[in-house]
Amino acid sequence: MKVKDIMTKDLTAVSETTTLEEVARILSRGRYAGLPVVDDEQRVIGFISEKDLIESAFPGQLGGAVDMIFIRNWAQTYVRLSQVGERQVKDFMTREPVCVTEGDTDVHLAELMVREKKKIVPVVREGRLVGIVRRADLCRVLMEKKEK
Amino acid sequence: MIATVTLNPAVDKMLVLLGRKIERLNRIEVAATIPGGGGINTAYAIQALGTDVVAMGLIGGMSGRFIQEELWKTEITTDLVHIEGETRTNYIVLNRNNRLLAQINEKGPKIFLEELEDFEKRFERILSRSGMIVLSGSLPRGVDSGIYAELINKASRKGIRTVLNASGEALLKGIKAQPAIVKPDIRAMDSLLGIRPNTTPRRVELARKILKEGAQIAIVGGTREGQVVATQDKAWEVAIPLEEAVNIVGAGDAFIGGLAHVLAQDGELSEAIRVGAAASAASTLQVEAKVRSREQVEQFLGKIELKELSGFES
Repeated sequence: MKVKDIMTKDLTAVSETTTLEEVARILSRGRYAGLPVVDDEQRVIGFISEKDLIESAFPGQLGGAVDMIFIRNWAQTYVRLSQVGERQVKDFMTREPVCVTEGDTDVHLAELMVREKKKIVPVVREGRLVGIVRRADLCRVLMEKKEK
Repeated sequence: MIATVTLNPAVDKMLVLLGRKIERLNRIEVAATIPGGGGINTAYAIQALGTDVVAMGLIGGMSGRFIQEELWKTEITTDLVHIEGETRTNYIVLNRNNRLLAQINEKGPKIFLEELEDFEKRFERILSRSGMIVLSGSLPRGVDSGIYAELINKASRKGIRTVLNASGEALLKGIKAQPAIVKPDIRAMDSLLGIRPNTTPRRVELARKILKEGAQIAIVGGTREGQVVATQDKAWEVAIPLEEAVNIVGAGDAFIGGLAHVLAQDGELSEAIRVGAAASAASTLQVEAKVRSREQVEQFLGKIELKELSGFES
């Protein structure tokens, strides 16, 4: 199975100059674990995750424990973020993010998601965003394959 | 790629009345619950015909999430802003013979400035990869009636053709921005630009007036009445075959989808009108009121007759 059979055709993304407050709003409302960062032509140039946002609100205080955090109370997080909410994505995003193409296999995707600890990976065509693939999408497809 | 914009989408609930006519108390069955809104209906037609399409707009709450999931199931690409408010629900009441008895539309949620700003940023980005933009439907609360004009101007600056399918102030202001194609939604209007388009000559007259404002193509009419399509030097009238129609809600939006699909590939306008009319007819075949496949459209193509209106010059 290929990524094109698994992906979600969602172009939701932010730009380098989007504020963290705006990112938090989009993550929260859309229930995203992270967002691709794109340029004016929707080329993927980075990725910003909920983990990046939490780290921005608690700089230098979390160490390796951040992976264990699941955001349950966005109201409290907003209070923290209000102090850094005006900062821009470019200061916190991962540059040259892990991406896949529509022709990549499910095995490649699974290996990538586990090895790189990614909950969500942008799907690109000639560098431009065409969708995303989430761990949940992959799990659903793997279970469907098993049933067959 | 074609991008469709639906700023006030809806969940359409198709209700079948169990009694003969609407009374004070009515028993109904919910026949279908589907994503609705002009641009979304148009996106379904474009996708079914095989052109890449991205559905843009503002969605909120469980209803908004339902719309997004349904679009993804059809493999329509989305770029939708999640808003704080709840996407509206529209109620379409049919009788047992599938005759439309009433359509009850909610106004829609209030939109906040930051939500609109997010949409506008996405719109700017989508312009870099779109050949055509379809702006369709009513506006939710909090959105200025000049927004379509603003979006048309942004697209025009990048040389991208726009289609405007709207009503009221948003339509009038949008026409002034000279979109390539204008299709007024005349359902809720007694008249537009001083003309009541209830006969073919009056529809032609209204098309002329729209063209004088700067549009290249004007489409005036309705699914039951047929559509007049006019350019600066030619005009046609086309009837929509409705012999097998179950639900005509959104058929006008499907017409735009078929038309846009052909024009985006630099096809002839006469062919675009034929495909538009066939898509319009295909969308009426199920109570779900959507074009579901290219084959559905093709089965109507042979039944479409274009009548060229002689002596037309705007």
